[in-house]
Amino acid sequence: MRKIANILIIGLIVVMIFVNYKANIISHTKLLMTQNTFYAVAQNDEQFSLNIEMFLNQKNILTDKKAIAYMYVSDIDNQKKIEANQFEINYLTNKTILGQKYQKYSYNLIFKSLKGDFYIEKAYLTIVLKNDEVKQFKIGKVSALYMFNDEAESHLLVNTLFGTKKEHSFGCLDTVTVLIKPKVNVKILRIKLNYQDIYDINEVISDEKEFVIHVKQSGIIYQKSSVLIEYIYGLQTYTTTIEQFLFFDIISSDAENGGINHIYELNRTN
Amino acid sequence: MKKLLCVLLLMIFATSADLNFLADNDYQNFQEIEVYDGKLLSQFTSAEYKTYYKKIKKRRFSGWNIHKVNEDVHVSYKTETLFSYYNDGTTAIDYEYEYEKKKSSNINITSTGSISVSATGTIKKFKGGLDTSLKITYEDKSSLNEKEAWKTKMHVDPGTQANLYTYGEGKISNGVASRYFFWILLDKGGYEVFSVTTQYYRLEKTSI
Repeated sequence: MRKIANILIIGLIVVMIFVNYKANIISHTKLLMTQNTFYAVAQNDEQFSLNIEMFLNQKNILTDKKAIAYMYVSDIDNQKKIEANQFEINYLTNKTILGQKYQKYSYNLIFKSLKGDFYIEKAYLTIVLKNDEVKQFKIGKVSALYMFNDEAESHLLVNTLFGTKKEHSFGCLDTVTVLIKPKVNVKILRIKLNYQDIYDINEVISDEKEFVIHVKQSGIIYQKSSVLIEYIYGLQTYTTTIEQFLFFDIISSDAENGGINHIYELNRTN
Repeated sequence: MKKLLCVLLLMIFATSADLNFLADNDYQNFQEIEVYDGKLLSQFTSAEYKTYYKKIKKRRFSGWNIHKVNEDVHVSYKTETLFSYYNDGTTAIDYEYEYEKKKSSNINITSTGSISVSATGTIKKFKGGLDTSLKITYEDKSSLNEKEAWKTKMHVDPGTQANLYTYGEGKISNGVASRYFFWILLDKGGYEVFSVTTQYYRLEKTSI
């Protein structure tokens, strides 16, 4: 009788160990996650940079700068491709997403100015390691608008700038409000946030005026953006640019949106 | 056989995941909180407390009686001015502001009566297991140390003040609770859980 009891107890314990192992096995798999993000930046005459956020559940060769030969951002068939001439990798924080603990890293890539607008609709970050391994990850959309004839705020002032979040979205801009105060009579041609969100205005303003821009994007993280104001003063076209403005931060969400996450299982050699 | 049992029990502990629940409490320092369709715990009257306490007076062997007054009520808040830059000179200045995120917990809590909040440093949580009864999930402590920074450049004309300030949205849940052990009342009071959802940034320039 006692023997049967012992066998039953041992059987029960083995089942519990198996259940615990199955529950934890996912944390032993090397995972890398990216989130579908709109990287909307401005490029001056020299350079522009992208801060790409990556989530890794374990320390990995991909976070070791010395192990990386170079990185580039491209579309899937490399028709559009920009290679970083400098990069930094910084650990930011720990984060739990969809029940999985991750370490959040920022990949800060600096590119030489293209002196023209550039965008990629479906962008990938490719990391080429010194051991010749190549890793490619979906990152979202990239827009790098060129600040031509940038006059800072010498002809007009950006007196107010704020944005709102799309309701029920995980973190997408809905509206951007810009209050422009001209110093001289200027004709505002357009306000540009990215290659898709361009708002034609064509209006001469002599006094303070507020413009509310409705953003087309949704289903993608879009919290930081550049704001370029194109205007005519005299006979010349100029730009006034806010290179990067964080409109809002998501502190917590009702539901962690699985639709924006791309999760990659890394092989053992990583 | 006993040795085998001990080894197997140790293996259960080794394969179990650990969780650490933490919180901090700072929302009462916000400049302004606007509650839509509800009330903050600090606005409860004595008469309201009396009414609500009647709903949690049933004695029990062990655990918490909870009466929820407001659940996930939408709130908006204004917190702090991140910076104010005065240009009282005679020439315009190009100013670059670098903001380093000081991330706080997604959950902030407060209590009244004899419901207590643990006070270990800046991290706080309800004592006596009220967190578990309310099914509160806090962010891990290590997630609060985000090192991210962002920069913004601006042009500040003479006689102008540039301000960058934050405001946001969140949810409030509050009510009253009582804790019993062996049918003896141990704690009774109000609780409130404030969950921040979105924090916005606004840049404004005004004449001095």
